[in-house]
Amino acid sequence: MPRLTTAAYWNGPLDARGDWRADPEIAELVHRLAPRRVTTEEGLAEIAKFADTASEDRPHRLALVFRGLLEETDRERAGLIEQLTQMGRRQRELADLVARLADDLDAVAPDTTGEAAQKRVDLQQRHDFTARNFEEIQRTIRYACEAPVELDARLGAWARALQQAASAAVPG
Amino acid sequence: MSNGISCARWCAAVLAFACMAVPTAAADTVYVSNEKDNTITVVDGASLEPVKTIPVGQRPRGIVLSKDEKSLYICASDSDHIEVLDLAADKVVRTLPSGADPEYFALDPTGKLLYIANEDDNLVTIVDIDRGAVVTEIPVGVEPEGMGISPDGQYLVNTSETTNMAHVIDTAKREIVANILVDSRPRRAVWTADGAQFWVSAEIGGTVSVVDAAKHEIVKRITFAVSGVPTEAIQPVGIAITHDRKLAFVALGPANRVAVIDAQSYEVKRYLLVGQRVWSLAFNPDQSRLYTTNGVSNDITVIDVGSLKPIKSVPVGQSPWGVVSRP
Repeated sequence: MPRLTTAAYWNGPLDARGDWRADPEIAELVHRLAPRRVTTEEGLAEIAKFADTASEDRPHRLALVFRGLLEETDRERAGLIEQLTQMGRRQRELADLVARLADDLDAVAPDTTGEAAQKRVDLQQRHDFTARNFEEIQRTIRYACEAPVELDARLGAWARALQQAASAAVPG
Repeated sequence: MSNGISCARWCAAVLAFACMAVPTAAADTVYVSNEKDNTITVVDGASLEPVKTIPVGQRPRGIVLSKDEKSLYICASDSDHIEVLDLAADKVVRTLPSGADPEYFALDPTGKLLYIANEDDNLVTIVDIDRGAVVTEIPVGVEPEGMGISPDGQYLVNTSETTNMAHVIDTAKREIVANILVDSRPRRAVWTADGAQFWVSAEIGGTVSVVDAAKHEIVKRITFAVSGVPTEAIQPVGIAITHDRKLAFVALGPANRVAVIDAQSYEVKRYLLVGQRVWSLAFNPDQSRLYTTNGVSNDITVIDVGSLKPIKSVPVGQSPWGVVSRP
């Protein structure tokens, strides 16, 4: 999915008129929760605390929190996807280089002697180093690919908590 | 806190609200395959709570109950075999050959044969369950995926992701008798209980094709539009059709919605917000509930079929994929 949208998380219309940044308490909460290091559970605890205090115009303020978290998460996720795209591009270049080095190696007979033999050793080392580099980055990419999904899952859990709180009766 | 109500009390209030929303339970047991955890989660249909996690082979995806409903067959994709989970002992007691990378399969109505899609080999493998042996392999299109067998067992429909076709296979002759071009990346093929139609979802095409099973012709191409959700996020996968063919449900992947369709007029009646990246669907035995697996939010959503409302999310393992229910 290219961008995160309200409708993927929120049931029905979102009453989030106004700018979430204009409410200092909401802005502070959003900026505290948005970074990737914040876990789903930490966020849920903070949302529960906020929902408990936001008695005035609660559904609207909770909707604004969601709008803020959506925008910030989307921004962060888009940045991650861009990084992954760049990594993918670099990997394709590395893969091409490995293939070229393998062709060069094949062009030198294994039982060759003298200068050509030394050239073969150098080529072999370069090939092995590049291939190893490729494999290591590949492992990193596999791990990094999970990050946008984790952000999506975290936002979903927070959206459900916010919507549930917005539709629950005001306590007290 | 401004209103003096504690966080714990607020949470308790929300919890009480959530519990009240769950109607009286049906007594079934739900099994969910968790692709990343290599486990099956068992959910009690009465309490709608996970009650057990059973370790199985690598990357469990498609699951189907045996005819007597005492065993669960599991496509252990990265183990390259089918596992037989004894549901009394809650452990894997047997493995069956499957060909490479089994993803999804269908059990024939006699309960004796499994038809398995081998994504990497462009084959459908037929396995005799009692003998634990491959009977034959049928070459099909590129990246076979969905498998749906007609209620009388006479025809198998296999979809191929890359060829964009639904292949109709005569199970007696074990050969393809019709190829139907559907939309891009077909996933599931699900028969109506009367055997008159099969419905094919197309993940990239964003449609469901309703096929007349006798004429091998598409009678309706159902499209979807969810306000505020980009078209490319609408990716139909799982399909469930009620026995009376009044309602059909289609899982729309990253749109996080299940479409509810009038299965007679093919009109989409509504879209239900469920968990994230909704994938597979299964009814409970009396079809009063529908379960959805949600691959990103790591839960299942329970939908009340009567009121057409999601009533609960139940946490399961990582990347839930398949789901079945038994009494």
